[in-house]
This record gives sequence, C-alpha cells and structure tokens, in this order.
Amino acid sequence: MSEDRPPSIQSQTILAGHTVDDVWRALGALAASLGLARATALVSSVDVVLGDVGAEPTLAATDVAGLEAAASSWGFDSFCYRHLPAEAAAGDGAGVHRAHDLLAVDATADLLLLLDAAAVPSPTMVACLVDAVAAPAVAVAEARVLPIELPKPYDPLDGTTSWASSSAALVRRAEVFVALGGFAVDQVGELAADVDLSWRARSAGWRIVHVPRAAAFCDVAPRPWSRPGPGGRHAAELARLLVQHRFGAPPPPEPTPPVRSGDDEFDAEATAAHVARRSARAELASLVAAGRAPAVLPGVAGLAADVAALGSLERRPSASAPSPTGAVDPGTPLDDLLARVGASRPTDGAPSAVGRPQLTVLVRTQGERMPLLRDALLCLSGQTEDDVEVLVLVHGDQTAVANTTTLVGLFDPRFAARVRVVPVRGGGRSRPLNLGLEQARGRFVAFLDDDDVVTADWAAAFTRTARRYPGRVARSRCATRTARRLSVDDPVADYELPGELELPYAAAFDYIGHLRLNASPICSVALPVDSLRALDLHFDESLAVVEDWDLLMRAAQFTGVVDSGEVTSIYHHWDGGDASRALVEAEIWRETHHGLLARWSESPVLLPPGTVTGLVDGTAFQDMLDEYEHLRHHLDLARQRLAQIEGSEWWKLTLPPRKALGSLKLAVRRVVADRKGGGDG
Amino acid sequence: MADGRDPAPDLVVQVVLYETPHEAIRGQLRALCLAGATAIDAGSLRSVRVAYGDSSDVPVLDAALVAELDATARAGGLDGADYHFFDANLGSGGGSNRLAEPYDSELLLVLNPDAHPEPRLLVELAGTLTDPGVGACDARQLPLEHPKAHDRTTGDASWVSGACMALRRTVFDQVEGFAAEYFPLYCDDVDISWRIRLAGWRVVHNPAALVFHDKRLSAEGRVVASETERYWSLYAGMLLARRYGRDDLMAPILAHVEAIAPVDDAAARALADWRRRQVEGTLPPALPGAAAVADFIAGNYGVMRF
Repeated sequence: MSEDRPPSIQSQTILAGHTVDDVWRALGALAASLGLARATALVSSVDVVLGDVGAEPTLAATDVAGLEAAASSWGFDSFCYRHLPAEAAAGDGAGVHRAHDLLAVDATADLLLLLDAAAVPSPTMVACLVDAVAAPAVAVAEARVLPIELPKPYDPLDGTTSWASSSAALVRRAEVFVALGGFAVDQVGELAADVDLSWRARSAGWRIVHVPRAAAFCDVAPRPWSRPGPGGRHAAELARLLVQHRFGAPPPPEPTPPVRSGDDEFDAEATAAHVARRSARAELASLVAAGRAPAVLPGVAGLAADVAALGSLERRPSASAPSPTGAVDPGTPLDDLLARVGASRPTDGAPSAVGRPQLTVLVRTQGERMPLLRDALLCLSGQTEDDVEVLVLVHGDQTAVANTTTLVGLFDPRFAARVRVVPVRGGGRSRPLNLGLEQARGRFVAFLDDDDVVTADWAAAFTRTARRYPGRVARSRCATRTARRLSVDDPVADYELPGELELPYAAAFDYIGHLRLNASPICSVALPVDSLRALDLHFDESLAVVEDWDLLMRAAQFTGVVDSGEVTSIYHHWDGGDASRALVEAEIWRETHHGLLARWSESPVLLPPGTVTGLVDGTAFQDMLDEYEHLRHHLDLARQRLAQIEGSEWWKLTLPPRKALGSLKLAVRRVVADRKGGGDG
Repeated sequence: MADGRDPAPDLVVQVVLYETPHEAIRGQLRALCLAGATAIDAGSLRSVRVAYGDSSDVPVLDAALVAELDATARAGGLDGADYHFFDANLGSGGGSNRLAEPYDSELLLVLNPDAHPEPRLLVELAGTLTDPGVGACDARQLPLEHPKAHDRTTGDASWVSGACMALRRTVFDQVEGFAAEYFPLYCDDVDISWRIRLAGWRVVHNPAALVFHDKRLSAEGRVVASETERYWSLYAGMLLARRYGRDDLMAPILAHVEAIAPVDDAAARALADWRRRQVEGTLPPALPGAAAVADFIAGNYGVMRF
C-alpha cells in the first residue's frame, strides 16, 4: 500500500442464489460504510464489483442499470456486474472463492474487500477494517458477523486469530492475495479456501486479525452454497481434512461413534456428523493413496495447534438449529437495550483468548469434608465434556490445601491436569467464588460445592447451551435429596441417603418467581464470564448466605437465561445437624433475604421480554395463584363440611345444651372480669 | 510370604461391551489403571488384568485399538488388556461367564462399561474380600446411589449390583457363574447374589468403594429406564419368584402382569415369554431351600432405603 495516500478498495461480492433485494440491501449499506471511510479520508477510491455464479443471471439488465445509477450517486468510482457461472463452477461447490479470484484479476486497488452478498455492513465496518489492516504485518482483517458469530477464538488484546472468513474481510491485494496466488480452491475446495489462504499468509509471516468493532449483519438464512444438503456435510468435513492435511496434520483417527443421548433429533444430527466424518476420512485416504491430495506445505511454527484445532467448516447458523433439549432463547434484555442506544454487548461466548476452555468449574471447599470432596471430584472426572477446567478453591488452612492437593493427585492424570487447587485466605463464604471468577479461564463458569453431585452430562448440558446461546446464563434443572452425615466413627460410610430424589424446582427460569424464591441452586447454573467482567458483577462478600441467588438475579436481568431442561445435578439437603445451629442459620437466611429484597427494590430492574404481559394478566404470579387455588379448595371443603354438620339432626338436637353451655361460659367470663377489675382498683 | 501372610490376590476385570464408544472405553481404562496401580501399590492386589468381551454385532475394537488399550494398561501398571469378540450377543451375564473361561485369577471384578472407578475402588473391594466369609461385594455408585439397603455395621446386603461387583473366583465357580439362560441382561446380579448366599457366603456392600456410574435423569428426576429394563423388571420378577420357591408370590405377580399387559407392551411381552417357557417346559426349576435367601419385599428384591 502507498504510504502517501489513503488506500484504494475494490469491493467484491459474489451472488450465489441471492435475490435482487439482497443486492440492494447489501450495496446500500456498503455505500454508507464506504462513504464514511472516504469522508474520514481513510479510503481514496472505491470500485465495486458484483460476481454472479448462479446458472442464470440474478440481475436483469434493468436491475443492472438501476444499480449503476445508484452506484454513481453513492460515489463509487466504478461499478461492474459480471455473470461467471462457467468459470466459477470449474471446481467443486458453487465457486464463490473461485469467483473472487476471477474478479481480483483485473483489480488495481490496494485492498480487496470480500463481502458475502447476504452481509449488511455497519456504517463503521469499512473504516474499522482499513484501520486494522494498516497495522504492521496484518494481511487480512476480518469483520465480526452478527447475529451469529463464528465460534473461533481470537486474542482479545490484538485481535490475532487463526484464520479469516471470507464473509466480510479486507485483504491486502498485491502483497498478500496476488502474492499467494489467491484462493487455492483446486487444492482444498471451496469451503476451506479462506482457511487455507489465511494459513498461507501466516506461513509467509503475516498476521490475521479479527476486528470485533467492524460489524456486519449477515442474514442467518442458509444460502444454497452453504446449506448442508445431501453431501454438504461430507463436503465440509472433507474440506477440513484437506486443509489440515495440506498443513501437515497426521491422518485423522477413526471417529468414535456418538453416544446416544435419547433425544432423537440431536442423535440424528450426531449420527449424520459421524457418518460425514467417516466418509470424509475414507475419501481423504483414497485421495492420498491416488496422489490427488493437496501437497503438504512446509510446517510453520505456531500453526500446528491451529491445524489440529480446526473445527467444522459448515458455514451455517448454529443458533437457528433446534436445541437438543428444546431450549428456547428467551431474548436478551441487554442486547435489546444496548441496540436501542447504539452500543454493543460484551463479547461473551464469542471468541476470545486462544485455547480458552468452554467451562470453568469452581469447586468450593473448606477442606474439612474430604470424602464429600472426593465424591464431587469423582463426578467431575466422569464428565462427558472434556473442555473444562476445574478450580478447587480451598478456603482453609495449609493442611486443608495439602490434603486437597493430595486428593486431586490421586485422580487420573488427564483429569488432574485440568484441576488447579487454589488456596483462599480470609473473607467470607463468597471470597473463594470471587477469586475463582477472577482466575477462571473458561467462557462460562459453573459451580459445584463439595457436598453436591452431578450426572455425567452436567458440564455438557452447559456447554451445549452456551455454544448455541453465547452470553446467556445457562441453566439446567437440579434435583434435591436429603443426606445425613454419619459419625466419623461410623465403621462403613461417611453419610447416608435416607430419601428419594425430589424435583422441586421449575424446569423454566422465571425472573419474577425467582424474586420470591431461588429455584436455581448454584450447581444448576453456568454464568457467562465475559459478561460478568464487563458488567463488573461478582459475588457480594457482605452476604452471609444466598450470595449465588443475588448474583444470578443481577446477571440474569442483563444476559437472559436459557434452560437446557435437563436434570443434571443433585443438591443435598443435610439433615440431622445441630438443631439450634439450624435455627440460627434459618434466621440469618431470613434476614439476608429481607436485605436482598430491599436492595433489589432500590435499583431499577430490567425484565425479560414477555414479563409485562405476565404481570398484567397475572400469569407471572402463577405459583401464588396455584397456592391460592389450593387454599381455596381446602376452604371450600371446610365450608361443605361445616354445612353438613349444621344441617345434621345431631346438630339440631344438641342446640339447647350448646346454648346453655354458651351462656354459662359468658357468665363465668363476666365474673372473672369483675374480679380482675376489682383487684386492679 | 516372608511375613507369613497370604500373598495378595490377582484380579481380572471383566467389561462386557455392546457398541460402546471408544472414548468411553479409553476413559474407563485410564481410571482402571489408576485404581489397579493404587491397589497394587497398597499391597491389596498382586496384579490386575482387563478382559473386554464384545457382544456387539460387529467388533467395537480393531487390532490397532486393542493394541493401544493393552499398551495403556501395561503403561498404567496393569498386566495388560485382552479383547474377545463373541460374535453373538451373550448379554452381560453370558458375557461374564465366557470371559471367566480363559482366566484363573483369584478375584473377578464385573464392571459396566459406563462405570468409572474411583482411585481407591479396588483397594476397598479387595479389602472387603479379605473377610473369609464374604463371597461377593459391590461399590457405592455415584451420582445416583442404588437404593437397596445394607447393614450399617457389617455391610451385609440382600444382593450386590453387577454394575461393579467383585467376587472370589472360587465362589463364581461354585455357583457356576451367572444364570445367563434365564437372566441374560437384568437381575442376573440378584440371582447370582442369592445363589452365593444360598451357598453359605455373605454378599456385602462397601460404601467406601466408589464408582461413578453414568446414569442419567429424566425430566421428571427419575433414572431413565428403557423399555428393555421395564420388560426385565416384570419378567425377571416372575422367574425369580419361581426359581426361589416363592409359589405364594406367583399368583399376585402374574395377576399384576396380566392386568397391565393390555396397555403395556413390556408387560405383554413378559407375559408372552413366560407362557412360551411354560409350554416349552423351560422355566427355571425351583432351587432347594432357596426361599430362605430370597427377599421379595414390596415389589423389590430386598429392603430399600428409599
């Protein structure tokens, strides 16, 4: 790029099954974004090219004429529409990347703006991308796609990311795109072409950056070229394997068949993915054997981990897919509010630090109940989800820390390696949780006190929900059970379970209901870490109890809550303790709850969508209505019984003696009252 | 041994697979290695070997994975891991019987493929079996404990669970293993436990022995029971009542199954299979004196805690 003038841009948009309306919408927004960049002298000239890989031209001559006129009014230096079905379809897929190559041949601009035809740039997108790509050694600056972001990670400090999607990205033309020979569709196919270009750029010493402030709204409706139809899933999986092979990954292992979850829709999805993985693996082996696989490129330091970690290349909106458990997105009050004032939500769930686990589990212990802590850790070691780190927060002395460390060391090293024992000094019962929040590396944080247990899909239920609804509080359902601690001298066991499982908490989170009663024990929620940090939310260490309830209510109003519907945790009610201590604890609980209510009442509260209707028609108070109905039923029964008694012969026959008895009682009361009155006088 | 004590026993862990995912097998083996090495280090066991039996239609493991598992077991301090493809669905009991044939270890551990041992599991179970009167023992299951009761002091139970059951090999042979012809999948553990007790041995629950058993909960907070489990809960109930000489229970059990059969597929199948066996004359014969060890209490096989 020239040092003495702002860069020039050629914007390239490829039509593949899009409509004329799509084109107008995208170009109109692009014009505004380019216009702002030009007005601020970030861009010198603007050429806009539309490529069309549809079998038939998307635009009629009149459409083109209309767009040309608009382009002139928008200040584009040139505008061109090219129908290239034959050239672009020379390889697999519908040829979007191949079309980008073709359009770039005649380009002279400093920068290429690659834009999906369904992408609607924000007014500042181009300016932000130009600013980012001007940084030293940046080859490609990728925009943040809304509403469904790609789940790949990026460095929160400088935006460095593994690869850039071609949905909305700005590329240095001569030094990068031309120097690397454009997209290598012949080698890795359409779906992996942007990954491949990014990694070749990195191999040449360039950086790829993700620019969260450069946003583009991308219609989530799948496009023909991206929809995983018959063979589409296989193609996506093969593309992933091809690009991994090209960058030196070893042959993929035989995929493991999925474990049935019992949810037919989810299982069908998992099975289809498994079949695709197997068939793609077989095809790669066949291509390698036939010498038709891509040539392996020289290894690049720092790239191997990215190659190994490359996820699915299916470019489809994950959030529009049904939840495996029927979870529904209740809407996010914060998103809605911030959108109205033109701000953006914290980047939870979206990608941040590279290598970040999906979930951090905070295990709070005083190190005094080792058998219980052992049970909790055993449950965590049996989780089906591995993308989890565990922080055991020991709020005790050095002996407690040492005992805990020894206990963790007894477990499978692959599990123990994901567990950190963190000593906690001072503070109340919330101090360990706040320390854990500070140190958590996961996108989400879940909590397991050392006296509760969880099923094998506990963490997976959270991560499934979190992946689909990033930024929300993920909630599963909690069962309860009474447990009874046994004497330390008991010859056989540490505790016993005298009761069955109960399911007292509602399946769905209800904000109004939660103001009265916490139906979400701490082990049943996972909180989005970035949201908590961005909103400066943490546990209130002044609270003696219910600190988790307080934080949940303060976070939920901003983030919303998504229920998985699955029962995955068991909260133990401990029975048989010191009765006087239990009374004191109950009194502390009552006082704290009153304090909480007072505090919540002092602040404005953001209610979830739908709440107002519920408040007006009363359905928000369903639990109270149920209780009212229950009491009314009993009152009706009592009235009926009373009427039966009053209508009975026995009642009528005993009327005289009852009257006499009543008179006697009245007389006695008078005498007693007279005597008392006399005494006082 | 120089100190005069008996040498520590050797153990074969039996895991019967049925289309089990590879990662589940690997994860369990890692936990088994740790439990095995811990027990060997503690002097509770002399050696541990893992025997996989496969009842699937097609082999779950290929040669490479078998070699990997064997190497993992050896690296983890065990004697190794073997794989036996049955080429038939023998069920859990039949699979365990078949797996016992090529080995002669002093102790056996029957372990579900979805059960993850806690590091001290084998120390605890081997310790329980050092009591000369104990023929078999089982572990406490997390996160969902089995509700069957046990004596708080001695651990004595009516029966022990096949999800994680340790037995003396002599006892296993004495009772001729699991009665797979009658109980191929469910209640085989109840049956073998009662026969072990009938032979004069005790069966004991050790709550200090822990195993994480991957049981899930339904939306109603109940353990998810498959149609097959429901079928066996009815069918095996009839078989056990007959086998253990409780003719007095046969009439009410049959009446119950007949009553619900029109609206319950599992009950209808159980009833049909029972009548077929009646006609064929293949119902289990009553075991002499067995009623004394068979606990039929409120529809369960023994006292339940909850």
